[in-house]
Amino acid sequence: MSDPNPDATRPLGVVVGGSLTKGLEVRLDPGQTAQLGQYAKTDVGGGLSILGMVTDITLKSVDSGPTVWPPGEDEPALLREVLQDTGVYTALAVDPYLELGENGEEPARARRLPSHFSAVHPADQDTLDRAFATEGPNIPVGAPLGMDELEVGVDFERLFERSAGVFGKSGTGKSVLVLHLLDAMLTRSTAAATNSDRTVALVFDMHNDYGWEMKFQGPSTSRLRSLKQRHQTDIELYTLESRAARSDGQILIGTRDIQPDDLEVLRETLDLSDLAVDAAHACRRRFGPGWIDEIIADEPSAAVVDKLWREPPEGDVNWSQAAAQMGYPGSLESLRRRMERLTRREFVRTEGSQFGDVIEHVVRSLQGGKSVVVQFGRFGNDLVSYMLVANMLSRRIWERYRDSTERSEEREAPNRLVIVIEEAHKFVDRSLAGQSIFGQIARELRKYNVTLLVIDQRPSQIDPEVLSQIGTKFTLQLDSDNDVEAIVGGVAGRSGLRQVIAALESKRQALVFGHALPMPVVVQTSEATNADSARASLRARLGLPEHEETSPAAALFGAPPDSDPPGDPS
Amino acid sequence: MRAFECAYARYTSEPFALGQMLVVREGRYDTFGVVTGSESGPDDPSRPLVPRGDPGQSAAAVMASNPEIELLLRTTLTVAICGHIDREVARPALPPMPPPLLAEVQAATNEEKVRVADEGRFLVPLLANPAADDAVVAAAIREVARAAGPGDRPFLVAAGKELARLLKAEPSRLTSILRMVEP
Repeated sequence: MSDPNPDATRPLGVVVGGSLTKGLEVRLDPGQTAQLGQYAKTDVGGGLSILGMVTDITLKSVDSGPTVWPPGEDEPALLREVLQDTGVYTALAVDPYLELGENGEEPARARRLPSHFSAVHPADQDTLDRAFATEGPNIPVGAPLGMDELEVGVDFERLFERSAGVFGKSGTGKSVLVLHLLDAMLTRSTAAATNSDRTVALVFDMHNDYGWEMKFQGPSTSRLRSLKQRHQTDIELYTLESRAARSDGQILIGTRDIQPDDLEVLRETLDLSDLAVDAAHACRRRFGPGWIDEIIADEPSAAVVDKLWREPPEGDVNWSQAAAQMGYPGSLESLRRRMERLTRREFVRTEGSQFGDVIEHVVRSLQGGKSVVVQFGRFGNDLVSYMLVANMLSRRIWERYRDSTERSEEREAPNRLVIVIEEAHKFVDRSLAGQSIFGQIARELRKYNVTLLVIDQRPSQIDPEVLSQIGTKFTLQLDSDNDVEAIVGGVAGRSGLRQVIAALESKRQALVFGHALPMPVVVQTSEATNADSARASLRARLGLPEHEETSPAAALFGAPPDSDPPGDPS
Repeated sequence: MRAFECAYARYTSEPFALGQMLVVREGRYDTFGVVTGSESGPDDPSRPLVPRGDPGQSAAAVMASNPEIELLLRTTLTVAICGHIDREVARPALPPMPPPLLAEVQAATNEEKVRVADEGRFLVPLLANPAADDAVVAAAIREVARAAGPGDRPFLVAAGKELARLLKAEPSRLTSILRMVEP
């Protein structure tokens, strides 16, 4: 059933049964084909039509005869031809989603059914336009399945109003899709009248995809212009490496910047026991902000000894004695070893506090209307580095946004911030969701103008409560049943959606549903391209002129009106 | 109303074939039917036919050497009505009235056969007649297919689908008829 519908003007079939909760049963007309995820519409009278999605395709027989005694290879061909669509036939399960009026009424949830034998047609562009009409701009996400010449878009405002997620196994096209969404966000944002009207992104770019260029690995390596090339004056690139090309600044973390709370999220990745984390809290309490510097020293300092003993023991004091004195005999040693390893990283500086400057620069950029991409370079495969930086930066920036929002009665509210994280399940799994800042951001929806765009391969590992707060989900192919179930859990018509996800192709096919769309849609996502025509088309869909108008100030200084020029916080 | 009989004036060795479509063009309607049976025998049932001729002699030779026999025998066909034409409109259904007695029965033309068969719908009245057994139905379908000419496949498939609909409770009968249509 993979062929596109051969004749879109002919009915797909007729309604032969069904219910609002279980969907319609449609008998496929002879000679027609349908695909899982395809849109279909049927009239219900009174000028209303129902738009639904094909969620299953079944081969049926009217009675047991043809299946009990199927025609063999040596049977006349006529017997097979005759039995097709008489003794045996193809049935479509169509989940009804929307009721559409003739006169531009807002689409409503389908609450009535067509009568028996109503003709079911493939949806046309006019129907899709009515179904997916948005008040504001929309981001085109691709062509609905089986309708290559049509296009659907997601509501720009609603997409970033709540957290969103892009899920799919490796190599399915998540990164290209995210780049497309971010590109659209920045394109639209750049045209906003004021910084507070802008939506900006803070991207934790694990594999250097969203900075200067995105590389594709395959039979031949190709490169796609990424955000910095597309929006030179609206993006700042930060890196963890000191000698990275095209960097606007380096992320540096001082040991004094790391709080025990920052280690909570690293518990599993750093293999820290609960007792070791407790020991970190105890160290912070006793030794102050320089606690990491103290515990990674070879021997306890005099200050440490003073704080642990009223009367120091005779002779030299070692860490075993200090750990025993603190009540963490084994776990403090374990914590010391891990902190020692953590501080060996190039971007972690001992005996100092660096992070405040970084935060200050990043927040100023973000609230000034620029998006920030933090590239991890060679640290991209080091999950500890990724989680440490993403968590520390996000927590502190969220606190700044929270403060700005709470003071917004006095001042202008901050712009909307979308934090983009990869491997999201590592941050918001069941055990960590309570402590992680990302769990908190997802749960608080848009309270402080901060939302998430999570990218993940294993949605089943994400805390269900957090996952349920993801407003719009882009789901590419997933292998595990658990992952599929996690995505559709609690969604109306989930059994149908489960089938649809299971049938997605391995590349560039996505099921999109949730807050930004009136009904689910399976799309063939756009091909990655550097073509100017694609950019012009995107701008048109976003309600912008085809060519970017560069203001004289931006041309001269390369910065939006009220933001600071990029600086190196190091 | 559902069937009629037609008789030749005397015995004929080549009557209309089983499944052949015939027409009576008299009365208010042109009435069409399919031959479901053919019977030849003495006109007077009290005078049964006794063996004649020498061993090894063919039936035709016996008839030729005994010309009086043909006058004493009669061939009668049973015809199941399968449609009619009412004011130029072909209807694959029983006519409201039977054809008149003594009206002449003729072979339907190819064009009439295709029109009355109406993509297999003539099988509805045909199958409702108990006399139309599997062999008759298969022969009738083949007959119309021949009349349709070289492009007979669409008719065969359409008639087969109609048959499948009518025999949905008897899949084995459907199979056996279709095997007879296209061995």
